Amino acid sequence: MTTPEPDPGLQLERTALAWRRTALALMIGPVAAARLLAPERGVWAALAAAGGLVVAVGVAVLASRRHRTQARVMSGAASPHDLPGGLLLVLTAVVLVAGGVVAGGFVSRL
Amino acid sequence: MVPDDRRFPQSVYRTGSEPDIRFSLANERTFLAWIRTSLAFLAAGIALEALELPIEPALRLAAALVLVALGTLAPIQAWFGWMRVERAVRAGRPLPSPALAGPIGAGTLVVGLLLLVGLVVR
Repeated sequence: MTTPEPDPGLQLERTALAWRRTALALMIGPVAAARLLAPERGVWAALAAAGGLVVAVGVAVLASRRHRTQARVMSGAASPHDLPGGLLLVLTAVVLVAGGVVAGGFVSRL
Repeated sequence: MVPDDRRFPQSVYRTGSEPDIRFSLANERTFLAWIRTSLAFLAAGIALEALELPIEPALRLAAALVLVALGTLAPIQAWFGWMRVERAVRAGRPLPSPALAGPIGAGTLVVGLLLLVGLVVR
């Protein structure tokens, strides 16, 4: 009997990498924006960058937990009902919408 | 169908049946792609206004505002697209196309035109 492949098509690995790319972009974006805005907006830019970094680290940590649960479901050690669902996704989307509002504020006052 | 599934959102997990997890993983990657697209739009909008660029100021501001608007629309597509696709996969229905892809694409074209004119006019 052949052992079933643990990650057919490498979907799990690709998803983990996609989360990492996203967390990285979430880290770089606010810092780069703060760097650009620092001459005009000093403190606010620094605050936005710090907030962005905190969020990005949070996303990275929660995404790695998510990955571990998904891996256990794929190997059969856990049932799909143990999956975390869409909460991290909707929170990430809300953070981006909030980021858009903040960016709009910066842009319209520069 | 599991009527008492506790996962969020219930509108997704209480429809249809559990799909091959690989469909869900692919859907998740699509969501994340839209999120990264949003970040790129926002960064571009801020960069346009923060950098000294030889573009007619009114057109540059208009382009920056459109970019920020697109960056705010993309995460909406990310979330609602994810929900619609997850529901369709669970119900065995054909996958819906991304509803906001058209407007976001059109907006990107508008930004390009604004910047092109702004560069030429300057």
